[in-house]
Amino acid sequence: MTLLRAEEIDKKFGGIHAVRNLNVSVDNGEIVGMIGPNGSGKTTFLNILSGIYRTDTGKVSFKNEDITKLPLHCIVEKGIARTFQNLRIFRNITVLENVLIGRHHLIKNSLLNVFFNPPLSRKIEKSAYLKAIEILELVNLEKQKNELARNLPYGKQRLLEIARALMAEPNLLLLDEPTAGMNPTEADALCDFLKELKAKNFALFVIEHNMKAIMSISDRIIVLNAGTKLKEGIPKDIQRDKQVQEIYLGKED
Amino acid sequence: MKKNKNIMAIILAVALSFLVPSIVKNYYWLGIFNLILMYSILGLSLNLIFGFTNLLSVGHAAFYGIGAYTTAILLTRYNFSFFPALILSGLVAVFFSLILSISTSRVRGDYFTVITIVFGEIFRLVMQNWVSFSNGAVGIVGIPAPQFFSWRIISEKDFYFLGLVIFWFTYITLNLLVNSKFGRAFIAIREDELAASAMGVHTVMYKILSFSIGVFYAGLAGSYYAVYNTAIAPSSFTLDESCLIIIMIVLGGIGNLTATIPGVIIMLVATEAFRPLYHYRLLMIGLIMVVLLVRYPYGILGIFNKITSMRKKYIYRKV
Amino acid sequence: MFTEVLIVGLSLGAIYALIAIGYSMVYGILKLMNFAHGDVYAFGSFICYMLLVKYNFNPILSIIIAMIIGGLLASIVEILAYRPLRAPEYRNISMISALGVAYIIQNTSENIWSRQVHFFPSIVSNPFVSIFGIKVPTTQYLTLGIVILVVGGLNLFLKHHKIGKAILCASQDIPAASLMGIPINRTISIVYLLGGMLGVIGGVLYASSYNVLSISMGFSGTIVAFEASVFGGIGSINGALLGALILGLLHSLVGFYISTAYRDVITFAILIIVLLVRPKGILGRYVEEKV
Repeated sequence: MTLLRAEEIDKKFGGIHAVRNLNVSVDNGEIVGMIGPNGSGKTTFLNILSGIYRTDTGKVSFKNEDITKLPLHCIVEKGIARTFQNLRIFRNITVLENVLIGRHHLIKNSLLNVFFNPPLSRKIEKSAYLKAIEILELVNLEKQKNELARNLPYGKQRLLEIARALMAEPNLLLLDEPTAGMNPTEADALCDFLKELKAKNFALFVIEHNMKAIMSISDRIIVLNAGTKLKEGIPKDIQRDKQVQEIYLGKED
Repeated sequence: MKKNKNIMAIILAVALSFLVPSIVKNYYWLGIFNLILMYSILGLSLNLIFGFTNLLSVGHAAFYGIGAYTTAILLTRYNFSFFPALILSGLVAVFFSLILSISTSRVRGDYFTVITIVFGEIFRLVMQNWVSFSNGAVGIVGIPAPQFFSWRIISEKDFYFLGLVIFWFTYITLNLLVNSKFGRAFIAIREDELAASAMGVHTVMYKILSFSIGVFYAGLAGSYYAVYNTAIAPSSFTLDESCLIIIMIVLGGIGNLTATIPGVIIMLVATEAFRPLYHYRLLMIGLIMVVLLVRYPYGILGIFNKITSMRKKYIYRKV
Repeated sequence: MFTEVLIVGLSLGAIYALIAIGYSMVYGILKLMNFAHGDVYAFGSFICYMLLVKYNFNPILSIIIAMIIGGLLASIVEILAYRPLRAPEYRNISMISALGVAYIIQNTSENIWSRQVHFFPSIVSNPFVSIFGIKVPTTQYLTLGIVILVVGGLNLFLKHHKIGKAILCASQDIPAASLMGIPINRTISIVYLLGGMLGVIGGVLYASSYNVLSISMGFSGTIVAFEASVFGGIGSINGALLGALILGLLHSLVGFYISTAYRDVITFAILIIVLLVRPKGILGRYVEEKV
């Protein structure tokens, strides 16, 4: 079943045509990878999917609902959560507080409860806390839950960002270069983790530059070049494709 | 569990604070405590707005003033009794704050700050010039003492108890707020507005909420001031008063409610100590502002600095 | 009568432009609301006053010296109070620092020259001058002329001179400009220097036109600069000019037809409306944050 469908996505920034007429879909429980040289529009496209930019034309639908014009903060309620290329965790608060913010839209607490019914408020917050512990154990960060986010090693900060996204109980995770800055061991561990997520029926849309990683986890890969879809197919075919090799390595004379 | 220890500590603190007047009989000292209580309310409320949500409001004194004038007018001209006036003072302050927060919701935070400054000045000028309403620069005098059933609140000791009640109300409710999803949303907005939004936080709404709630307490403080001082004038609600409150919370530590109180105490002591140098008052305030911030951008006793120094060995330089 | 009000408004707007340009340029590059801007050029204007009135210097010389001192003061303030807080996470904190500087300068000026309103003599000897046989008030046309020269000159400077182009680059992207070899610190100092100097010219022209000079003009000048920038579009010199002219006309019209006491309240109300309807001002560009 198609979870996400992006049709005729087009985005210009002044003179720069970042994304041209792009059509992408992601099905339930599949991992779709997007690769392409720097500047090909991958992050722009992801930003459009997650509601940060609005596409000039076309439509984004999720679970058969049109989310094209949805404001940024409403996207996560629909079931899409994301991480950022340059890592946007909340640096000056603890790991636990970071993931709790990810749970924001699911914590059904109200101001009335906070001020007039503190015990109820505490109960609601407590259930969020328990979920946080569960997710933190999943990514192996439970022991560092009271550590300030900025003090974590880089690889764990990336995991934290994913954990924060998972707290929103999304159907689809948008990951922007999740292995960036990781050493091969960390990257492998992350790939295993992402495959575990797929087994738990999360759908993933992943932008990556790490070829080994993206080839090992993706069901399907989309190659973007200068804002347009150059190729789409299974990892094996993409790896062997001459055109894809050309855009990365240049033509053979 | 940690929560229970905190509750015990607060109950103890509340109990002890009510016993203070039995030990301290000197009215001068009780007066100092009353000032500390009042400025703590102002500091705590501004801490919510600036310390937690990163909305730099330099017009807090204006909302304090709106609260004061609301109570003063309701009590002297419309024969209101104090406690309804107290609540109304908070609400009227919130009403005016909405003008600011809604109009600046689409612009950068820097604009918001200047708008708060301009608003503060406009408030002071209007109170100074609209003589038929506010009695101009002379201000409103003869504000009657509050009455709670048979208890007339007149002496320093009476005002201490009144101030204490409002203070604990402020402190406890703000603590409940910041330890909930709302507090975390405010902090998320402070740390990274875009990421907060991507996590589902309706940043515009929460900023307005934070500002409105903070301003409510400022209105309460103003109401207290009106009956405590029995007279109010525009000259009490100046820009440098707003700056003083900012220094208090930066000194104590932004983002940390309890740390506000030492900040308040230190600045009140400092302003008393430097009273003979009245001509240089603004110079000193300015110097403190600049030197303090250039050296300790997140406050001296503040939560950031404390943790920085404790965990220095774990800090990595992240790209 | 109406044309009179208009001309007064325009020349007032021209003065405001001199004040607003420096403020807007600083914001354009550093996203800093320089609250000390007004007090810095007020200080410079007082230096001019002292030289002119107490020591009987030549008017042109007084203005030049005052301009240099004002510009230098602006640069020194930047180095001491703003540079350490230039990082984006210190945005709000740097504004508090700026407020602190404003107080320091204000208080120092107060203690030297007192809060009273001083009489500032006209710097032009003839109140009226004959242009093509028509008698026109000198100061107002002098003001307009100076502003046209300054804004025109600035536009050329920014487009064609090496330092001007450096300023434009820095206002787009500081790290990139720095990597291209542009000396950021020096460039920023020059921006502050220019802003201070222009502000002093504006302050002196104002004092000369209305024959008053007081410390409070500093803070109200900062507010004027901000309001002009909101109307015209912040970060842009031409925007500052446009906004300043509009503000000047507004002040003149409201002051004449309604009342001077509520001039500021009405301006504030209009400001709020502008922020609700068109926050980026008339010539403002909205720069999307790169994610």
